[in-house]
Amino acid sequence: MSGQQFLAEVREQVGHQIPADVVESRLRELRSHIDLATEAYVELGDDRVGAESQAVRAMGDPRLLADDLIRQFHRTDRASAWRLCRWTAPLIALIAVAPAFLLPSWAGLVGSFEQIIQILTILAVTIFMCHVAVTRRWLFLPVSVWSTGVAVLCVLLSFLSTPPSHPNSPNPVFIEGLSKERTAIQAWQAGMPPTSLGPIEVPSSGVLTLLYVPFPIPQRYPSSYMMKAMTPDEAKAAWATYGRACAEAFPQKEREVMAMVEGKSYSWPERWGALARITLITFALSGFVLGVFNAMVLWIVSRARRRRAARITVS
Amino acid sequence: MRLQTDTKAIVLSVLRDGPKHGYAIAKAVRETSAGMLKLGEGQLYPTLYSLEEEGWVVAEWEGEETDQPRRVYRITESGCKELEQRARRWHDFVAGVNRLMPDEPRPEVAR
Repeated sequence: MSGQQFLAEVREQVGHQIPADVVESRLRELRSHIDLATEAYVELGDDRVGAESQAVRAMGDPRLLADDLIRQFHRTDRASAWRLCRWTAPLIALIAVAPAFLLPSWAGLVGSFEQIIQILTILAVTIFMCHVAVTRRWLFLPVSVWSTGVAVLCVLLSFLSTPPSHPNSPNPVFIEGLSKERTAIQAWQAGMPPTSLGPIEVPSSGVLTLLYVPFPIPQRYPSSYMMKAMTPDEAKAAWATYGRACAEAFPQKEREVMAMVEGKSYSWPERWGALARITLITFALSGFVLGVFNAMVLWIVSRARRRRAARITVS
Repeated sequence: MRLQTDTKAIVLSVLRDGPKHGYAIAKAVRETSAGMLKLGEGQLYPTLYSLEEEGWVVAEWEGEETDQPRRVYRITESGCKELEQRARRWHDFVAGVNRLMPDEPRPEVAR
């Protein structure tokens, strides 16, 4: 590779990420360096082409150099992790809590509520990993703190929107779900096709949520149940499989749901206890998971760079 | 053996001996360390720009009227202070390692 090709490669890699006048100044200095190094190799007896080639080789990989120039210009290498995450951390946190605000009908767009959670989790982790790969920094702490903060804010909003002594009002989603399920079970027991052809609830082992949160979460979505929008054929197939289980589980489920929607309230000490648990669990879980992904990405990136880098080495 | 070292301290240390352009810095590192340290010359420049931004070095173009203009770097007072701190940390580290290492490499490990 000639000096000209090397500089062209650096220019191409830098693209428009650095102002043109700064790029020109940097390239001019690199050109000067390559010229001086070439002269030195010529003085040692090399021909000009070989000397220039050696001088360029000593500069290392142009892609790495361009990457370092960009990082240096944008202060990515030394800015605080909190500043680097000022956009991505809130974005990731919002993506992580987004399922709580989804309408049940949206679950039908991709299959089920659980799939939405999986997709959004993968999206959040992918954004985080890309950001780590670009910045090559430890970013899991600010992202965990942001995620915890947003989760706590959601719960606090729910506290503030309902007085502790206020009993839960009947939740239309739960009531409608129960009614549909009861009708469907009766139809199944009578050997008829189920009438529930819209979103139906399939009992799961999830524990009913401890918090009474009138703010969108339970009103829009009973998070302890897996909901799925089904086609008529799917509903028939599901009832053929789960009909008996549903019929057996229904009385207990009905009792649980009715207990939740009829008059149970939570005192402030209960609420603060729940808030403390949520804070600790969210912070520990997100910190651990993101920390592992952070370490993994840094390890992969550093290995990839080490193969191409020409840093200070002890020979 | 490949070791990552404090590139900034090494560059500041070379500049303490007088103003130099990038190529001269790389050459000085190589020669002063008797070939033990080899600086990836491309990676030297982002380091120099960082030092400049920190205010530890200042740079100016020289020989702009010639066909070989050079950007010459000069260490500042705050750069000297930074170098002192880094050098102190380095010497502490080396002293600690030295206390652990045997004086002479042993040809065989006793079993």
